[in-house]
Amino acid sequence: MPARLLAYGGTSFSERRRIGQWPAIPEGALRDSYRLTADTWCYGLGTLGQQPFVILRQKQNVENRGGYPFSLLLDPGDPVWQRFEWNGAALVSAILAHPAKDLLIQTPERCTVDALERIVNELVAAPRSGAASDEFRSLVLASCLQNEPIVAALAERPDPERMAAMLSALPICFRLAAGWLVNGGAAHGQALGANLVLDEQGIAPGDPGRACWAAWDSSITAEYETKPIWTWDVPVGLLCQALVLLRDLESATGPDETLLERVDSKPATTMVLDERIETAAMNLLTRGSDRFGPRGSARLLTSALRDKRKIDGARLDPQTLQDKLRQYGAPPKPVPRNIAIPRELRVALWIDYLQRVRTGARMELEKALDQLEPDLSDQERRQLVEPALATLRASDEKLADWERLQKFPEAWALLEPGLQSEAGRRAVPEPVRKPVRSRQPEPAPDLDAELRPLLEQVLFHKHVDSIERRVKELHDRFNGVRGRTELDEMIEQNCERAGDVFAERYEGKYMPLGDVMRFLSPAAQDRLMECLARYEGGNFATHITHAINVKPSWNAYSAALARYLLNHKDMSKKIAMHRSEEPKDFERKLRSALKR
Amino acid sequence: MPAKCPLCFRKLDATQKLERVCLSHKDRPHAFAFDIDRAKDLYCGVKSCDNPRSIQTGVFLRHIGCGAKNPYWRSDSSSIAIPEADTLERDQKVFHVQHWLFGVLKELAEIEPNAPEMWFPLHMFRTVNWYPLDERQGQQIGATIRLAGAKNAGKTVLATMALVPYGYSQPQATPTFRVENYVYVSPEEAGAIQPQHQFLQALLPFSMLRNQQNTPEWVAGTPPTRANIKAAFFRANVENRKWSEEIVKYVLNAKEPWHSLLFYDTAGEDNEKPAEKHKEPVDIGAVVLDGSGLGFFDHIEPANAKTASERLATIAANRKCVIVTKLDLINPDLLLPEERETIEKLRGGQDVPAVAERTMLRRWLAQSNALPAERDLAEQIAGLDVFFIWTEGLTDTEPGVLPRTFGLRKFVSWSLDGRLAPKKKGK
Repeated sequence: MPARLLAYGGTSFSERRRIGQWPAIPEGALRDSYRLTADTWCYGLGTLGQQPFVILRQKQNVENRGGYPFSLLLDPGDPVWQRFEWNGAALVSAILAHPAKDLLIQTPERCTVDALERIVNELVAAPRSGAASDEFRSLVLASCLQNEPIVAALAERPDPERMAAMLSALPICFRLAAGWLVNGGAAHGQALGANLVLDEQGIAPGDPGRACWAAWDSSITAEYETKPIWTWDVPVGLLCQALVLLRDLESATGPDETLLERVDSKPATTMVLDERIETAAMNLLTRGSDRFGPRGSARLLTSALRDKRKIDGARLDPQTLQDKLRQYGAPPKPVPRNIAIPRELRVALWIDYLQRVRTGARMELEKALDQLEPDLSDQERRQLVEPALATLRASDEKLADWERLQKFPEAWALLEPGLQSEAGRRAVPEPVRKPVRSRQPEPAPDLDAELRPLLEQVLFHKHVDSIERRVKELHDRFNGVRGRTELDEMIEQNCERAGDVFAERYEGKYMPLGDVMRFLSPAAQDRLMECLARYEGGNFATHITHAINVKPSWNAYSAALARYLLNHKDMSKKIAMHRSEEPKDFERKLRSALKR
Repeated sequence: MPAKCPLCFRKLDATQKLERVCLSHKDRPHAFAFDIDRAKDLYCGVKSCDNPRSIQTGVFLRHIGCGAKNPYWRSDSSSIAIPEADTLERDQKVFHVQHWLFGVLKELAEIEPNAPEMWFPLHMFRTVNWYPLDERQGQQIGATIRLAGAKNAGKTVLATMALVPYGYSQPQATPTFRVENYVYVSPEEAGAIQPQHQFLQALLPFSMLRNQQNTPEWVAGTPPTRANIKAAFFRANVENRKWSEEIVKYVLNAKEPWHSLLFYDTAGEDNEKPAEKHKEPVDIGAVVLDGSGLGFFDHIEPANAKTASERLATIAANRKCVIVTKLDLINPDLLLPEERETIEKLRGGQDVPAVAERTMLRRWLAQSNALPAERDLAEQIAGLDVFFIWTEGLTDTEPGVLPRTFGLRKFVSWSLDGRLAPKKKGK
């Protein structure tokens, strides 16, 4: 990028020269006379537009009604920045020492593009070394973390040479930082992209960046230190927070829920740093001997379940343990062996589980007894058996299947009375000796005799008015009737006889089709789809797009349509093309929708 | 002709609102939609407030939604905080600025703490809008004046001195009639440490002169701002040019109405561009020419005459004139004897022939060593009124020695002349 220049004021309140592209800068900042005198420079580095530039400001022509503020903004271009190792103060010093500096400072309107290039290429980058106080480092780092400029007062206002020496002690990324200015105010900083302003009127610096600076680890941040902070793929604030977190983790003496909360809520930073933090968090959990809190417990359990890490369940938070194991599926799965949990806890987990089981209690009880016997106390055994028995009444399990539990004599002794009682209720004389007769379903009311003719009329008669109204009446009257296979024969016969009438009457009627098909079995629904295909020509197939896109509209017709398309690849392919999808993706969507 | 806001010049109609506060009756602030046919909304309602004893105690208005903001309004704050006085830092010195406006703005901020717009006296509104308001049966109660000219021509000094009694003084520098002032400079919109800096800079001379102390720092360049207004309010019959009669009239008839001159100051930088930036028409376009920067006096300031010539051609005004400044800095040896005599008469407050100043200026502009722009200007000013106005003592810092302006009275009288004899309302 070629050199840029913007010169304002000095002889008037107006811009005098502009070379290159510049973002909008409030004139109020360029012509502000705060802190300006004729014999000292306000100087700094701005970062507007993520392209750094040096700032030079002074009062000029003071003999003329007190003079005019002069502001010079100069960006020498990347090659020169690199030659100066991104040290803005060194650049300022070099500009003020250049023999042609008056062209920039006194008569910038005469500065041509070539002259500017020549001057910047001639600027001498002297080697520098120096030291930066902790106070200064902290301020610089803090300025990178805040949105608003920090205005701080240093013990001594540095001149450009001194500032250059201080900056040379910092990593390159912090020589630019978020911009800085010596002498000025927050409004200048805001306008010029200088987030650190050193001014006598500033507040005494606190320690806003000290913690981060103390945690700075070049072994982790090396790749970032040579680049401006605005080019980082991780915001500097996040990186600093993560570094501080790592340091806190490594220096902690034992598990600390607050630290772990910070780990859990930390956004991703760099892979190296994130791994170090995870490792440090796990290492933290190996220290100390106190019980872990919920976060520590969760972390250890996740590691144990995933990596088979051995852990002592006694130190874990009981609720977290229970929740994690429940998520894992234990019970009914056995607790992994690498997680050593007390027997009482294992029993408690099973008791809790069995209390929640509604179906298949016999099988679950058997698993529990398999895992826990013969170490159960009578009370524990009772606490396991009773919830299992409680599900019998509402269950249609065969009582004979419970005989498998005879292998647990103590448990069987508790089960037998309950089973006999249930057998009595079911009116089976010897529940445990004779096979239990399964109950016959009660004969359904003869809905079909009522529904069949009405449905036949609505579907296949020509002169039925307002299909929507008639379908709704059917729906209201036979609410809850679903999938009647008894209607299959009627559908088949009428499709043969009056399939054309059906196709004509129901063409494009998405919702009524869904409502009538609800009464029918899948086979009957499919038969009606064939009618539509035969007489309507396949236009109905486009309804599937609406059905897929508008989930609440999904109904029995949509499901029948989806099945039809899955069975008719040619049509399915056409619809997929119409939807600009691959056929296999479209079929996958159909299958997924059918699971609704 | 529609009415307009005297600060932002926006046309006022039923969609615009004003708020009125009478500082003598503060319990009755009143916001209203502007209606030219309901001019009584502008007034307090108490008869004596129509013509207040002091502008400071009368009715103030604000134009709701005005682009001219209170210099102390901050966009990041919900209410305005007006100090009782303020400080201005300039050239490593600190100046304490005191002015009646702080007190008035503070009072108004207590009534309307969230109002971002600047307040202005009712009389300013009436001056700007005398025509649509049909003031005094068609008679102007004041005039709006735009000052245009190159940098350092003397616009701001002229406008400032017009607002203080010392601007109308005899060589004895004794103030003789009453003039009150109102000043407004809009705040910097972004980037300035002290957004009210230019406002304070404009108030500084009034603060110093009130303390009978002159410091040269009050003279400073005027940057381009949204608005820069200096208003002078006179209470006397300015047709009468005899001092003693003015004093008597003033003492005997304190109920003389106010007259006003509203100076709209401009930045030299804006004037030196070819295009006219200020398009709102005013009553008087006063093009200011630095007399000491003419080629005749061997002092070449190319922008001086060129800017004057361009602005004279483009300034939007009902009447135009040329004001020649800095006559204290010219070499008197280059003047003809009658020219020296004319200047002395002006200094003494005596009458001079009506075209004397114009004749002198044309001679200077037409000389062989004049710049081409000066010769063009000489042609342009034919038929225009020319006023010589200058201020001496701007750099004097001796205690009790204050700057004095000469030639201003004649200009002020001319500005308020014509249809201006104050008539009592026929009741």
